[in-house]
Amino acid sequence: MDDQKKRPSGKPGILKAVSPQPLLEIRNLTKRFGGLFALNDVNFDLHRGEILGIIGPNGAGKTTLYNVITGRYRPTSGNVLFKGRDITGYPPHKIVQMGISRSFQLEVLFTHLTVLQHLVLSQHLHTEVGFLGSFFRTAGNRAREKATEARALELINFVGLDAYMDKAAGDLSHGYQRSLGIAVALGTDPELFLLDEPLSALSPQRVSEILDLIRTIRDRGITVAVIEHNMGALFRICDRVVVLSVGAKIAEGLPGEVKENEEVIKAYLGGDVHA
Amino acid sequence: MKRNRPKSKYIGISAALLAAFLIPAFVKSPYWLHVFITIWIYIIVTSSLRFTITMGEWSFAHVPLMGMGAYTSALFVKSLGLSFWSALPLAVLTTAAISILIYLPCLSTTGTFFFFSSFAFGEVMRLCWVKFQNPFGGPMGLFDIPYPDSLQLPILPAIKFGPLSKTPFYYMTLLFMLISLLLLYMLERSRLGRIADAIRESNLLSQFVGIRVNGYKMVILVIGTAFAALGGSLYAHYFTLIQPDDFYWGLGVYIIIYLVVGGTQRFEGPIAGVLLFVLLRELLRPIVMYVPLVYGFILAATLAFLP
Amino acid sequence: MTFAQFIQMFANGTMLGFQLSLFATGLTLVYGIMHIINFAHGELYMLGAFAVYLFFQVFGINFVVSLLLAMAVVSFLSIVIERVFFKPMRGYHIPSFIMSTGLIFVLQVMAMSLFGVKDKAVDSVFTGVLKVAGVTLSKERLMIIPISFVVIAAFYVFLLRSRSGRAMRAVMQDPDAAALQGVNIDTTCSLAMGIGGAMAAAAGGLLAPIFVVNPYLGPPLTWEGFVVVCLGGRTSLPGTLLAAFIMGYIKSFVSTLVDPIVASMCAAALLGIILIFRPQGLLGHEA
Repeated sequence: MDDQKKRPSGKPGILKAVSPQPLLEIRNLTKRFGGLFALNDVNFDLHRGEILGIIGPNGAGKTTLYNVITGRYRPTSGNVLFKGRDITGYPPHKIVQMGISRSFQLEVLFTHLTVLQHLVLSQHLHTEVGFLGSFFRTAGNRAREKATEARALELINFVGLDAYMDKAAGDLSHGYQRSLGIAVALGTDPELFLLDEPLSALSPQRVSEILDLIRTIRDRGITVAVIEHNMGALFRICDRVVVLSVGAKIAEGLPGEVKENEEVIKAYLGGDVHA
Repeated sequence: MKRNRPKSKYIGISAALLAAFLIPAFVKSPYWLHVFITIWIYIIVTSSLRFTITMGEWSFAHVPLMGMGAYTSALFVKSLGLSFWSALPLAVLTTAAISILIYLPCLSTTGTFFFFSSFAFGEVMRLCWVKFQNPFGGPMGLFDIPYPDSLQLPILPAIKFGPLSKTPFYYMTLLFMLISLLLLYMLERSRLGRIADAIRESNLLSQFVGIRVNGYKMVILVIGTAFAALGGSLYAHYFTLIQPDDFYWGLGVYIIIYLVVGGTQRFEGPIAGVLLFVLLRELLRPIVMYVPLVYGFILAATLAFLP
Repeated sequence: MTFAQFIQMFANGTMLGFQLSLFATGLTLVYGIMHIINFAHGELYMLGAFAVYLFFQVFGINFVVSLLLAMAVVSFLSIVIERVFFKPMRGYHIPSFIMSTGLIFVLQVMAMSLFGVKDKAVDSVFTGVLKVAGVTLSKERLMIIPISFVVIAAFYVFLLRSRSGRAMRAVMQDPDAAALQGVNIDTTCSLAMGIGGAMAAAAGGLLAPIFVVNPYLGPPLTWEGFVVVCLGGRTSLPGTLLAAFIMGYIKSFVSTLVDPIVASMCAAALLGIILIFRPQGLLGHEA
């Protein structure tokens, strides 16, 4: 399968030091709903090849952040830059086209379609079929279809859903639906993958599996951001952390630093903490 | 994808086709030919409505757009002097273009809202036919719509369309119906059909796999409209009289009922629905007043027992 | 446009506003409590008109009593319809819409078989005319205003003061919370349908002496009522009143100044515009 976008070789540490331009830049991002500031002047960068953790108490605006980045909401003010290009306010399908993909906190799936069908559809952008080709099945189409199916099977295998290939998404267990969501997002061939609470309500074993999966995704050259409440698990894999609280960024840095940060502790515990 | 359909299905379809083609040989009564002609036309309209539903939205402007197809086709022939055979495709294209105008504002809505906003704009369009005597003929509509010109096919003698024999109309509408069904079937099986499924299942996820949802919705609506317009044109040149009330929302309701009772899930659903209701109406001719009653009860029963 | 014409149109608009208020309030009530779309509401109006015809014209019962009887009869019928047809449809918009269209057929045929297809006339109750500012207004039409006002006011008193009324408001706001508080949802739904039917019947009965009565009165009014409901806010009763009058005046003025067809077009366009740009209507609060 051709990769039309250039990929870094996938060694995070080296890249971080060398890469001149952040992959994603969040500049003064603000989102108001009526009188409520869901996001309040948020600024941070995301670098190629890293795994960025995004944490914060409930209602901090983490999912809103994703929604604004991916075009579900327009920001009230501020900009989102991807690879140096201003993508603020682009609609979701365009964002996906540019190379950003996301998973959802509460699974969003094609309930009655099978796992295999999901993965075929997820490659929508890469099944280059001419306008008329959409309507009728030609020989050229058939070759591309085979390639698409092959990649779909590869993705299914990657997340371990081989046994459930022909099962309807709605019939899968919660955990497998989660994996499907990840596989679908990967099918769009993203450079940046935004995960929204991938570990919630999973058994410790599954948590490890998903963490490994995320690492592997990064090793394949995809930059990852992860919103998570399970900090213990998250800090095992992420390189840096951004902390949001009530719409504003209150801390940023290495997991170790952030854990000790007084502001962060205050935000979570809701009061002064004296060590 | 199931490629091996049971043999019985092929036999069934072939038998039905054969029967359909042979009907005029056995049924001489013009009345019954008329019934079948209307059945073929309604099948085109109902099946095209079903096609639009595959993307998850119900449009209530479908029948008014059928009417638009009827009016434009009639006008092309009557006022512009075109032959039916050129007017038909032109009417289809014109109506498809008009449908873009109607659906464009509605696409920012979904579900029930889309249903009723499409109804609203369809109704505005329909009222234009009532209001503007010229060119639409006002409440009285357009009458004296010419029959299609004689068709000169290679081997056969010229096929004349006129009030005397219904047979040419029968075959013409039957053929158009079969072609329409074939096209609709292929479209549904194509990539466009897969995209429609995705949009129906989850608008949100569709966006996030890169599907430009509103664009595809519009494409599907316009294609559906094209077939409805085809049905409309056939209607106009067969009945030779069209009035705004022919396409008011009551007929839209009937079409929806045919579709719902026939079944929205399967491609053959609309065919079954139309056949059931129209033939039933004929059976109940003696108590024609009660026909809507029966319809109502069938509908209620279907909704209650068969989702 | 002379002053006299203006008064005429204003009076007409007010009358229509009241008619639509009675009619549409029932629709809003049914939607707000059961979340179903009843397109057969116009048939209830039509049956109310027929009932008044029957009691007043045929049996000779006093008009007001006939009106009350009509309201009772249609109310009862509405409750039956609710129990039989709409109960499983609660919350489903399009299926209930489709179901109600089937009902239209059923009720129309019922009326046709009972009363025949021909137009029926109902004698005027209030004969005579009133001269206001040089304009002649028929008393019959004017009387709609106070009578409808009384009915609507009675309804609001019920809604605001009585226990059942409070229950209804609770269900409209939050059905789950209401259920937890011990409100019987089923009874409330039936009650809503019953009241809605009664008000539609009242509208039908009041207008019976003015226009003819036939089985086909329903559909044109139903979709106008629908526009009113959407315009005002599908779950807002005050909104319905506001929208009813807006609609009434638009109809009246546009019909006279331009023509009735354009008035219908305005109504249709208004529906589309409201649904697209402000789906919650003027006073509604749904997102």
